[in-house]
Amino acid sequence: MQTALPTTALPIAAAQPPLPETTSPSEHTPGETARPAKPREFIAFRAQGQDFCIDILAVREIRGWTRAAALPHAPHYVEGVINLRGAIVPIFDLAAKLGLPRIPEHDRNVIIVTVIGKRVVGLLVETVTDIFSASADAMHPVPDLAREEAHAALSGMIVESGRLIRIVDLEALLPSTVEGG
Amino acid sequence: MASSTDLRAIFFEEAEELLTALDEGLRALARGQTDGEVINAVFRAVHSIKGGAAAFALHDLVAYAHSFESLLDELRTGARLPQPDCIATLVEAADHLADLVTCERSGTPLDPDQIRHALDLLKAFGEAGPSQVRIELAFDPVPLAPFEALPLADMPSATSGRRLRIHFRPHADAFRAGHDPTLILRDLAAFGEMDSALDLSALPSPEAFDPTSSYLSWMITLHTDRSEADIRAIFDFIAFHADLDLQPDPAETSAPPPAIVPDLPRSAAPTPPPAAPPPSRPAAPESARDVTTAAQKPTLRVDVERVDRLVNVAGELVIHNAMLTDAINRHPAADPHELARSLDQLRQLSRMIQDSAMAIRAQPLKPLFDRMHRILREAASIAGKKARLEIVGESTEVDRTIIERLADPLTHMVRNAVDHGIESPDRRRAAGKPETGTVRIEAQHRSGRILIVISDDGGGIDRARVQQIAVDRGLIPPSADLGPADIDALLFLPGFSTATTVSSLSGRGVGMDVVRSAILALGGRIGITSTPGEGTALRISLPLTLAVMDGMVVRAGGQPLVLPVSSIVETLSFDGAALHSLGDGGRLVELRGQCLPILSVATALGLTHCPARPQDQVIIIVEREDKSRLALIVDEIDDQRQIVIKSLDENYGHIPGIAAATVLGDGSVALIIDPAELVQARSSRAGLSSFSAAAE
Repeated sequence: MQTALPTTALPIAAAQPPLPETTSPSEHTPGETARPAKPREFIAFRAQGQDFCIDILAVREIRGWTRAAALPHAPHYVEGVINLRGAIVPIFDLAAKLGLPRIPEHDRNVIIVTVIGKRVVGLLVETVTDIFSASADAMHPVPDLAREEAHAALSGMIVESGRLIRIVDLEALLPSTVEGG
Repeated sequence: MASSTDLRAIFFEEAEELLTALDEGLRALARGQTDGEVINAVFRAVHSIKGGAAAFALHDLVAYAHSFESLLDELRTGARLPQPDCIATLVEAADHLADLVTCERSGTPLDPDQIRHALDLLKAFGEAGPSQVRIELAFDPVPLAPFEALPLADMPSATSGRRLRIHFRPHADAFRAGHDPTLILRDLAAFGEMDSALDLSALPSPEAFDPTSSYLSWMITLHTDRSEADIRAIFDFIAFHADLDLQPDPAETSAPPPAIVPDLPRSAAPTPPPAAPPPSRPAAPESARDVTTAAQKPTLRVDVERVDRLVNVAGELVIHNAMLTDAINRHPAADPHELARSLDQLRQLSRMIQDSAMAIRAQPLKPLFDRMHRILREAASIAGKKARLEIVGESTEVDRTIIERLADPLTHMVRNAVDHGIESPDRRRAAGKPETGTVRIEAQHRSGRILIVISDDGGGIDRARVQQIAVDRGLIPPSADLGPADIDALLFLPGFSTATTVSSLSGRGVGMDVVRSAILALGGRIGITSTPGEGTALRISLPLTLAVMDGMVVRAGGQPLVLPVSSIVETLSFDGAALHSLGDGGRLVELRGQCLPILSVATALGLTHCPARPQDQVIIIVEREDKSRLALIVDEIDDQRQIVIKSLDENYGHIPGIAAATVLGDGSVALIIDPAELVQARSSRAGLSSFSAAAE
């Protein structure tokens, strides 16, 4: 499980936007969830001891860690920017965004490059654990007692083989970024 | 296959070119160049626009162009002489035609009254003329119904020529007479684009088949600009052993694409007497192209996106070259000379590729400058002044993006020159100047940048008034003692506009500060000089491209950063500098009697500062476009090199004080500092405070 995947490009169409339903599965009404939905595939990863996942269609590639150049006047969870084959890509510390401590600097950290809308954005995580599929009825909304940051950045949860995997709302990462800039 | 919207886009693009040619021709007429070629070029331009418009059923445009054309036809045939009042009418008509094209392009219908009014004017002028030429709207355009079925859809670029249908049936004895149809077909194919269908229907059953007889016939569609006689000549040899049937493609005659082939016989449309060009005119099918080629060298229309990609790849090459250099420097190889030589070649190569890629994007300023003729004309007529435009160096080339983004500021400056610069004819006469004022636009390359000067021979800046207005608006304290150059610079302050009333020209609250910020956004600078009684000159200096620039790589807050070399005035070592402290912790450096505020780059950007020893630090003096200077402190200077500019906005957003990013030789990212914004990022009082500080 601790096998980090250094620079594995996934065979996914590069510019493919995330599926529409990626954005807000938590908004599904019970009626909708009862309908047999096509299972979606997720890529799961760990940050600060917690399990997270994002829709695999939003992932463009997974890279080994590179030092990011710090950005001035940036929100606290922005690591900086890296050079991805000539494109300047911002890196977000997912743990910091959720109100957890920042992910400590480590050579085995991994950057998941995702496409959100038209933007290419990197997520700094500790390890990528696995790829799994889950149907819509396996997803649960984030309970109210969760902290506000968590509510803002997560769109739901999945319980998978005893683990609680939080679904990251990629869209929610962006707007505040722009404000911060 | 091109869709109808593509064709529309091509029509409008060509219409723009034709309008430019039209404008140019009319200016030549106004200068007294009234030879037939000029008049023909003008006529062809209008005629081609009419033809194209008819194809897209743009009725207003067709009707107007038709009347316009009729008037021009009188000029062409000599029924009317190109007198000044006639040319003035034509110029006005050309402006209206341009308006119509713009309206059709954007899909916003023009006021019908306005259209009728312009049409009436033109007709009235035509009827009042020396000859009684009927200007009735006999021209009945036939819209292109199914666009996809059109021949021109196949080849929007191969504009000349027509389609012919050839039915070629060699007789049964053709082979025995020694003929080989394939040779003939090959010759025919060399004449243009050929489509042939083999007709096997005459082929007998295998038993009856005679290998020495010919049973084949061909149905050929040929797209060519050769004459029918040329085509028949190919079949000369076989004439006695084949049947030949040659006729225009019926698909074409039923719906002529007049934009491309304006002079094809129109069987379906009634031919308007004054408008139809004589079908026998030589080289007639090329008339649409002639106009543009006569006006300017043929240009290549390139999808900007593709070109951008090329520029990006070329930029990459430069980066990789730098990476390679770094790698080799770290691990010295056995034969350093050979390595150095090959690296040198690589560097040359990458610069060449980059230069040629940039060249694709470079375009002459001519089309942009030519548009200013009309702006000037309109501005002068509204303001009741007389002015002419003089253009120098319009062939100067600059990046396409810069040209596009220069249009608005340039328009504004030309209007300003007429509105505020040039005096009224009375005052000019009183001052002993010619009544007609001159606005001059001059462009030239200068040391890797482009310099554009917009000057007028008007009254110059009324400095007392400018200062009074600045005081009234609270822009400067009443006690401020400003030199002439400082007062001129006041014009660039936000919210400054000398027009006391809001005229329809300039003075709409957006003043020179908008021009200035547009120029700054392009990485340019703007300055103003003025001599009372003699005129005002605005000098704009712009980079040739937005993709690459010379940068100084510095280090601050433990991070590499890039400063644009163009903004750097000089560098100082921290030791030798005369430093002074101000009360609240601010510091000043004294440099040749001038006190400059000091700003630490690391602090301004909020980077965690691991302070280098102060005496090791370097002071870089930068100058901003309003001439105010600023001393920046950085930890050290690494390098000076060409850098490829990468957008931060695309994936992240704008950061105050940061213009963009670049990739250094080791593959890491460095941010490019925008010195002007760096101060704004810190103080909300922006440029104004530093301005008054400089003035006091």
